[in-house]
Amino acid sequence: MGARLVRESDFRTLTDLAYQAGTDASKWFVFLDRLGQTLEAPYGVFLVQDVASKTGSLTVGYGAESHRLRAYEEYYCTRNIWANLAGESLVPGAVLPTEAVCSESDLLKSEYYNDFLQPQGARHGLGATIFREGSLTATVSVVRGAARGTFNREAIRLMTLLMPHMQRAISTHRRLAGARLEKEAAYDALERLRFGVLLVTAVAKPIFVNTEARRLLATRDGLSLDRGLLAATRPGDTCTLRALICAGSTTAGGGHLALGRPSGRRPLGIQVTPLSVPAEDGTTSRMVAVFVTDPDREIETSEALVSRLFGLTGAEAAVAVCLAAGYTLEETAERRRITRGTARLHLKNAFRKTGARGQAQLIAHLLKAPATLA
Amino acid sequence: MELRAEADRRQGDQAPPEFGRLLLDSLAYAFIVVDGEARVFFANDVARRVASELNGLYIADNTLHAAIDAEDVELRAAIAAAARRDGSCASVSGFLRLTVGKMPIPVMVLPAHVEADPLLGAQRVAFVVFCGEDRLHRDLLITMYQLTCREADLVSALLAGMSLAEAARALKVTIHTARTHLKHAMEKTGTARQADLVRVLLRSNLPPNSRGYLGGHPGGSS
Repeated sequence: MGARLVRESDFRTLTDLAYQAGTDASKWFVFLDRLGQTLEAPYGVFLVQDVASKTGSLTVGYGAESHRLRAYEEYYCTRNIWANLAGESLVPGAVLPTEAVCSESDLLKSEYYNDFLQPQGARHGLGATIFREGSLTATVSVVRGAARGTFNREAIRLMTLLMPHMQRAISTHRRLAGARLEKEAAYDALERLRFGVLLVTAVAKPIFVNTEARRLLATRDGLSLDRGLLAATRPGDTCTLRALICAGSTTAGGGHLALGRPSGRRPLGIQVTPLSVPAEDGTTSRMVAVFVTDPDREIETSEALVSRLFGLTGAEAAVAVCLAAGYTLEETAERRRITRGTARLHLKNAFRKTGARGQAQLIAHLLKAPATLA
Repeated sequence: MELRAEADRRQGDQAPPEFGRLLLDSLAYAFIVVDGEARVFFANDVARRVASELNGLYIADNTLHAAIDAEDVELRAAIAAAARRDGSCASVSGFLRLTVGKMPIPVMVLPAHVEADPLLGAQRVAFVVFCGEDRLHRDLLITMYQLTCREADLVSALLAGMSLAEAARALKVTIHTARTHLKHAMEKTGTARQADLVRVLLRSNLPPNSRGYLGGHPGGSS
């Protein structure tokens, strides 16, 4: 049971692996495996947990069978007597052998030991709290059986030495995750816009195309793709469009134009806007934004939505939505199977509730609402 | 085929991350990404400006708040509901009216289709979206419908909510002249009624951000 001294090479390998885990969370497995070998512990977990709600999200575990890990996530995380007793001593940087938080007699009586640890031959643990923000904690723990004995001072020293490296891995992880969330959220938001949004290169090659822009390209009525490049359906317009995009990619240029449509519908409105970000190597990365608006796009405005947003009754909202869709009050009455007088009454109430002083203003209110955005 | 390829590409990591934010910043819509507790992960330019300039909606301690208590309760409930959902449906309950500045404006709270990392402390996130700046891209409307400057002035006034008489006064023209401008604008937009004209022009509009037109600023939001 004598303490094996940790070799310098083991330590260096572990710090390397911790840094790799910062940029690639799956590497925590390799890290834990190596840590377990070094500390003679057959089980190890990297655990991200909300200690207040006791909801566990076991990020990586090694050694244990997968159904046991699942059982931990689903149930035993709330029964973990070590974590429960440690409570507030789980401060970032803390390295605690389980004997320091829970007496042997308490452990042996606990459900956690008898139903979860014991069947796996687990008895002694060593936990390191790497991160804590509010009730969110990230810990690395290793566990071994009774025969191998408690984790000694040398083991605690190794965990303590690894701590700053594991902490840097966590902050790298959080920084990357934050950036990824921002990116995904931004593109997801762009997907929901009612205008077409495209990100193109200087030669009009699309890099990102949102839902509405894909719809417009598919109809080939004003805007299309020609050999993978953005083009206008009317040949003459393509030159103008590409010239604007090209100018936008090199200068602070950009501009707008209208694209005629073979179908005879109202023209598409196009805004070309240069975008640039400084790249890491000191150069500037440039792209061009192309925003497209289609005046003839039918947008369904939900009556339920209008009634909720403006506090209208269902009947009032129905009249308002019909008007916003381009029908006259007479047509609206006909469609709704109500008399003109009733339609007018609903409209009057809708005016009062929205503060509009005419049909045009009511429509402006409705169409400016982000209801038309999704 | 090309379209399918585009759709696939969109899902991948081809689109450079920074540009998503720049595209959003170029528009007049405020976008805020929050977790179920209204903690702000991301707020675009417009959102930051509106949230700091006006009192109705603000970000404090990195959390989104509505200044009026009743509205704050409603906002938090909508955010919690949206962040719980899997993003497949956007129900009507996600829409509410909040007083931003002096005006009650419609605000949309939607579940986001992205999953946050557990180490960020939230699995599900929601969007708060609203039109931060009520602006017209006047030049675009002029180009699309070959409006004259005066016609554009008149329709701008109508889109801002003025009656024809009010617009005439604001433009310092007679009601007769205003009517002529209106008639021409309706001819050019292919519309038959004032309400229809407003509808078509609002559908044509691309709300530019506060820089007067969409982006056009090297270096992004700096």
